[in-house]
Amino acid sequence: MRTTVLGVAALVCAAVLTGAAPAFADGGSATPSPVPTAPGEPSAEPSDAPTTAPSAEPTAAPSEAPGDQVSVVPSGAPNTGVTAPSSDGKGGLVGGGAAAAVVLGGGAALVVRRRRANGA
Amino acid sequence: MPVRLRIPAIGVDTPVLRLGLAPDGTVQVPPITAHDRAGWYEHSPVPGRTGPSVILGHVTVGSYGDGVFRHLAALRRGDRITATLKDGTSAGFAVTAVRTVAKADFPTDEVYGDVDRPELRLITCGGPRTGDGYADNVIVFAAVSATGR
Repeated sequence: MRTTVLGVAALVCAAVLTGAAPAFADGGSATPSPVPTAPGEPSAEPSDAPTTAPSAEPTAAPSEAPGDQVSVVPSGAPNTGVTAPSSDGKGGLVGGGAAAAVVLGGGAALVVRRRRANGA
Repeated sequence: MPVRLRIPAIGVDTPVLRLGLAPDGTVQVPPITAHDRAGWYEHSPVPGRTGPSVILGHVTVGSYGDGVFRHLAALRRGDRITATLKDGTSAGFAVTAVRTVAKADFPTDEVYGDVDRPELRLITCGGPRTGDGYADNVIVFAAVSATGR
């Protein structure tokens, strides 16, 4: 029984090892070589990207994005003028009062003249 | 932000306040005081940046008399305007148009809409009096002419 168990275990280990080894061997021998050789190429791409993209965008972004154009449009028209409420009203009252005084004064003058004319 | 506004043609040389939005969604206006000041709408570009920078001022301030923008309607095409910023730089503008419009027909798009260069909008009231205010707005449109320190 032990021998069969050990035998099975040994077979499993062997199968795993043989199954795994080719996978490493295949992948390690063929594909790894492009990766190390490719680093020359990938390094060219990243060098292009950081120099063009980040350097161009930051210069454009601060001058364009925040603070440019109106971000919140107000509603309606602004009330940028308050008239003097007392000026018109007072002016009218003052004008009316002056006119009344003139009329009263004129009437008094007429009465005095008539009295003098009758009395004399 | 702008801290000073000069318009030699109408004798304006005023400090500039910062204005936001009122609770009802309209733009805030400077306080009604003696020797009132102009105010820059904080959601518009700083003068000299691309877009329409908006500055408001009163034409009259009630019993205090004339406001800082009392003679804004007298500006003519080509008149110079200079806005000085907090960092000491300044932006120069030249008037391109002066319009008086009914408040009911306020040209929101023309005033606040996007433009592809630094521009300036100066806004005050004008036209016939209605109660304690005015029926119209006077709007000065100006385009950048120079920037520097």
